[in-house]
Amino acid sequence: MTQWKETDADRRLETWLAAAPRVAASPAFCERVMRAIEARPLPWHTRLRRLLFAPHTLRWNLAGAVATVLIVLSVSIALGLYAGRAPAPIAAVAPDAARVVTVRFEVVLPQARQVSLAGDFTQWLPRVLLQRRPDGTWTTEVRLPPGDHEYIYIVDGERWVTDPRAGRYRDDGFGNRNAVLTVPSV
Amino acid sequence: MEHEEQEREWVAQCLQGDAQAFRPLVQRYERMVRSVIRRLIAAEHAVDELAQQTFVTAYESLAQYSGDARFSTWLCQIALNKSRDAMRTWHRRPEEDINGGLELESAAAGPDEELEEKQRHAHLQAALRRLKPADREVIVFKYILGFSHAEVAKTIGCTSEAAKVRSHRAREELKRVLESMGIVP
Repeated sequence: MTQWKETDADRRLETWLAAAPRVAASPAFCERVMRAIEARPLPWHTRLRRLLFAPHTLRWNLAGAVATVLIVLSVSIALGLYAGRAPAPIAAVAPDAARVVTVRFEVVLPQARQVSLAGDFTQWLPRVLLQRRPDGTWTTEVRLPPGDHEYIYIVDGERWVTDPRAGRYRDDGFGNRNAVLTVPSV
Repeated sequence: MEHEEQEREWVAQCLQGDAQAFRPLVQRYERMVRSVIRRLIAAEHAVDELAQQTFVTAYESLAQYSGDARFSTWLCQIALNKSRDAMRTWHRRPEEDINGGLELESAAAGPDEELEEKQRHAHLQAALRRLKPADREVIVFKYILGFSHAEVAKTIGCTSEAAKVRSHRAREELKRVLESMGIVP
């Protein structure tokens, strides 16, 4: 350890230095600094924090909202088709003279022992039984006219299950949601 | 401690995007930063510009301020780097009138004392100007600002032991220069 002997001269010199006057405050300096800071773009870390943690206000209009919903629906349907697990039901392809089309309903419920279909086209009675495939998918086909149709699945005769892949839903007035299927005019 | 907690709170507010929270930090350290730069570079015309750059750089680098060191120490590091960069750009040691332009605050009680203090200060500044930049840095932080050896080490970038040795040598060198000017402390 280095040791030095401090003399009176050293102490006086240190006192002189400690008493050296500082530059006086300049009222304009702070304002200049603040203007310079506010004129610059926010630092990246501040922008990132704001983006992640600051509350944001969502501004929207009806046209934008409708367009967004349509895009989301289109993408969802496209992805469902691409994955080979199309949202059920799929309005298909077999129009007849009365413009009734055959619609295939499909739902994945591997644990279910029985699945039936009820809707406004069955007067909400579980009249249509679905067939089970080996992979746990339940399916059936129903002929429906063009227009909106609400429906729901009934599992094992007691549990009402809303189709998780439906494009639209509507409140049933009793705290649950029915799936809505639109059969297009052909 | 309360002082430092308040500063940490201001820093946190700045990081959340409230630029106005930086204002009290500028007001608190304006004199210190401008004085440090004034002592290190002596070129009066550049002091305000470098001091402003110091604060703007500090604001933009707040995310890197860990809070381990005092905010003033961290700010002095930035001021020192700005001064070193400026000196490198100019390729010269400070040679202008050390007291020109900027108003200095005096603590003297009366006119005689004030005159004596001014003369002493002028001699000190003249001697400082003749020191090597490394010695001048140590004198400014250790003896004028009153930093601890650990704070000097952190500011100038060396170990505490090295800061202690350099402080002693710089003080000896300053004393030698003063004596060569006929000033005996």
